[in-house]
Amino acid sequence: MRRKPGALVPLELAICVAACDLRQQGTEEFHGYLIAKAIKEHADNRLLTAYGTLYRALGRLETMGLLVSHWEDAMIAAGENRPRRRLYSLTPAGEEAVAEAARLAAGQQRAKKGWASA
Amino acid sequence: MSAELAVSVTRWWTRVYTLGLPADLRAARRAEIESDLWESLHDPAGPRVQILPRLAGGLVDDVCWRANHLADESRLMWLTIATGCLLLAAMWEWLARPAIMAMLLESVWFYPIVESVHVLVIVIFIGLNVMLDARTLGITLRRVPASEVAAHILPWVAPAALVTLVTGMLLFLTDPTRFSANPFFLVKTIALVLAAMNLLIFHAGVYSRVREWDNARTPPRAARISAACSLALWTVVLVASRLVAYNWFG
Repeated sequence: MRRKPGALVPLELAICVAACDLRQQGTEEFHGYLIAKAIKEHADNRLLTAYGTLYRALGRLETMGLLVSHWEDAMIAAGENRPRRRLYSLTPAGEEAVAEAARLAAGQQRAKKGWASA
Repeated sequence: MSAELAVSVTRWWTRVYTLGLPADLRAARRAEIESDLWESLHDPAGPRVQILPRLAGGLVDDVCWRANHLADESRLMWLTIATGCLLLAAMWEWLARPAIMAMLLESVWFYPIVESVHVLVIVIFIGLNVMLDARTLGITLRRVPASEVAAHILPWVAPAALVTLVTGMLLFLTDPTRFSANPFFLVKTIALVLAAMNLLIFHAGVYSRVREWDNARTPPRAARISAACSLALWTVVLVASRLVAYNWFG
């Protein structure tokens, strides 16, 4: 089944929301492992998102224009004696997608309350 | 399982499913997983025991991601092979019932029709494969991009392969004991399996990078080796198929 253009699956939304949280904490850019941890904490999951699932979703979000990525400077990685990180950041379209999802969720909450009080 | 072993398994799997991808894409995915593994191992608060579950949980996505990066023609090839396997399994289940097989064998026209279709389609299948192999070897159609030749030929090869498989299986089931004991049939079966493996390796490997050598009059060595193996194996299949008919060892 094909999804509507622009619609996000729960994991994609979770990535965008976690990226927003990280930004509010002062982390503009994130790598795969960091976002996996952020999602786990945000959703209170027991396990980190699987490698294949996470990187495929990150790739889709980049194709959709909600994330952008670049490889960090090799000198920085060499200085810290670790592999290079691919750094992602949320685009304005990604922020808009999170805001839109929040508006939708709030609307659904109001509708539920309305039904309950009717 | 120790974290080091889990890391090795993850690295091995990443190498497997990125095999044959364009160099930049392959290197990017491997580097990204390598970075993630490093972060997992060096995160003091990180759950190191999660490496293997994270690998296992994403296997399907890895395979889907790899499939998305196959050339369109290769996707058709993989689909054909998967359909062929399912079809054969279903047929085996149905035809292995003696009553159904006896009913088919009692028909005067069943065997000659199935055999004629099998021979006709195998000629089409192998003939088209020879054209594709000749282009891949750089012998003919050298001015036509390799992907264009494949795009025109594979839509015919795929159904021909399915019909050949189905009719071949029907013929085999008419007398499985005799066929199994025939050395030429064994040679044919081994050559068929090797040819199918060669085809899969070609499509998962060098053909995934066809955009890099599409217009080359002489394709890369890996492609030429694969095409030469293909020609040799299909020749063995064809010759062995003819010889199966003669009961020299009975």
